[in-house]
Amino acid sequence: MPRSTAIVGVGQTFHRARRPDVNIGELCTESVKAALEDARISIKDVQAFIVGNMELFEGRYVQDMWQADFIGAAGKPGIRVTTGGTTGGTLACVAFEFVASGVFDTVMAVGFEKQSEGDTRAGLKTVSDPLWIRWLTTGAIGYFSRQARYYMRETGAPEAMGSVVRVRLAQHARRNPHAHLRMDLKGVEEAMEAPYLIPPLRQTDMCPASEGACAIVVTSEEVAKRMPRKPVWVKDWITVHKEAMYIRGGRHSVADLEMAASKIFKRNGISKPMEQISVAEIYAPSTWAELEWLEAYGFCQKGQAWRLEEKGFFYLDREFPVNPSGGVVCTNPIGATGLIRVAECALQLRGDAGEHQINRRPTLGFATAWGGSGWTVAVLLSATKQ
Amino acid sequence: MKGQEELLGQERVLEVRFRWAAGPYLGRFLGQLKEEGVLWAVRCSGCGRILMPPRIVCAVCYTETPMFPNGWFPLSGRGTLVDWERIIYPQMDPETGQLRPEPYIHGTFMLDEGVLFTHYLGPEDLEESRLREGLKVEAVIKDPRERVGKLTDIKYFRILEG
Amino acid sequence: MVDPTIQIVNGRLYGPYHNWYGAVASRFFRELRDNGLILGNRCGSCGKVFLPPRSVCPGCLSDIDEWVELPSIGTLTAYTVVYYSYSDHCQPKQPPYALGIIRLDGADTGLCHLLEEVKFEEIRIGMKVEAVFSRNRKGNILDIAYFKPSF
Repeated sequence: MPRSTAIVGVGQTFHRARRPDVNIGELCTESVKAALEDARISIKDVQAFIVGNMELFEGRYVQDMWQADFIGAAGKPGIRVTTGGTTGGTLACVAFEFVASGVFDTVMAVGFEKQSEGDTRAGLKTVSDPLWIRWLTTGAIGYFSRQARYYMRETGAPEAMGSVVRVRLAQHARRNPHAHLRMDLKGVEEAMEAPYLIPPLRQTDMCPASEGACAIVVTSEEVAKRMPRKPVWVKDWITVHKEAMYIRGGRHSVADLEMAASKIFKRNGISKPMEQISVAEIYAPSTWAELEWLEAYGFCQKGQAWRLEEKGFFYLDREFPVNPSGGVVCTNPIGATGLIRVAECALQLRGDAGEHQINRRPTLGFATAWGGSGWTVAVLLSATKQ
Repeated sequence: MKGQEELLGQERVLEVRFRWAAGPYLGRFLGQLKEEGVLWAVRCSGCGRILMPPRIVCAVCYTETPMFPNGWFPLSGRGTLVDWERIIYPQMDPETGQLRPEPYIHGTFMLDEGVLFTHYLGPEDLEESRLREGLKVEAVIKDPRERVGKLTDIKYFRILEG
Repeated sequence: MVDPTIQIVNGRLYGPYHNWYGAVASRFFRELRDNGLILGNRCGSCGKVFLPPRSVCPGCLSDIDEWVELPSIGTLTAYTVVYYSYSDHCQPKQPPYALGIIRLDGADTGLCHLLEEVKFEEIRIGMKVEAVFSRNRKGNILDIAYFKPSF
């Protein structure tokens, strides 16, 4: 029977396009120190580390070895996690498992990316199989342009909807000092002035390449109860892999997202997700993905997300807050992004998100991570132990 | 003080050579493409799914795929256009480090045999007004002397007029 | 037909990178490039002097603020001679060449660098060595061209 686990501290850097003032290790140090300060513990209290990123972006491998000195892990146990886009989410799950198993009482997960150091698009292409499709891939942008067209075709959503989502996320990000892009978008028309990347996807529909790091401290129930801060309880987590999109031959599918959400909801008695869950920090690299994936997770019926978005339903002070941090579209240091979703959810459940705190009383939070193309990680966090 | 001071960095190129083993299934598929200019697929004997390219097991039911030619069938190279995207900004080829000239079009095609396939739509940039779902397309294959056993042995798919 | 199965597919990965040194290492390389100086830094907590300098102490994670100018002379603590030649971009020079770990006087950590102006069979652990600076310095570790025996 696994033990209860809790998140007792979170930290992140102030995400930027470039951080020439720090090298890869120093970037992580910033997030680790922030997490230690938030948890009010010392580095000596951390027993094990889980560290991860997507190595192609910095061109440096074996990051657990190189980071050890900078994150206070030298001489301590731990492992490296490199699961592409889901890295941040998987980092959290592994941290939970380290503690739930009873092997450790206090662990830290650190996710990071120093994305300006490599070519993001070229790096993403190496995710694809060299024997089959690498010659053809356009990285994330090709995939999400296709996804946008698919959603528009299936649901009748007008092209402006991508920009409507962006305006919401931009307004959220302006209230989040850690977010990377904090544009002062006055309205949909302004967002729609942005040039196309691959039509119908515009620059404003797509996430940036950010440099940043995030760290969380996970402990057992016993340790959590001794902490000065209110712990955020980990209710459940799940990882799902489906057949790689490139082999499916281009047919758009959200099977991994659907499966992850339906399983985790079912086994936690969540039949009305929009009512029972107070806040969702979902991993969506584009505005259109955010709409389609809210439906895939089961928050609303197929074709409904854009109609709710039009009514402003997902604003942080409204009925069902989605990505009050600004989401991935405003901040995306790939190795950290999944972990930032968990950390932001935790802040909301603690009531500590400052200016981007939701209005609803936070009881249950839903955080996800996604990897292109075909796997999903989902985490359920709770403000109370039960 | 951090203010005015020059921040340095290190430029370098990571260049790694690989020799990937294609395996008996993909290797045969690529070999047939090189020799004959034909794409082959196989139907899973467990669940009936079409596997293109043929692989050692079916991802869904895990039934092992028989070796060529058992259960394998050639594709005509004809199909219909399902979706497309116009690539309008430079892409770096991760193999060569070179930028590919743009614009060009990727198409997703439903081949007549019931298989989805992605490749270029060509030969040159086509006007958006010409493109619609359901257009009939056909693969244009390179000359035998130019074929090397990669998917780029297919030059592109072209729209069949009429 | 003869089995046309393709066994091996050749490929290549090509990626340009630009890794930032960070403010601390930038200072180290600026001083090396502009003034031919080797700087380390000292942790206020445990007193260790790090070369190359670092932003935080790996042991206690405290910020390191104190810079220390180090002499260009030190002791060889380990070495190896590389005979094996392998793929492009990976070796600093054509083999054979010697690499050593040098602890400069006053530093608590070692610096890995080339050893030259010495016959391989005459290299000894514990020998005194000194840095030879490049004439054309660019802000990277080869601004020190190599270490040679010091008498």
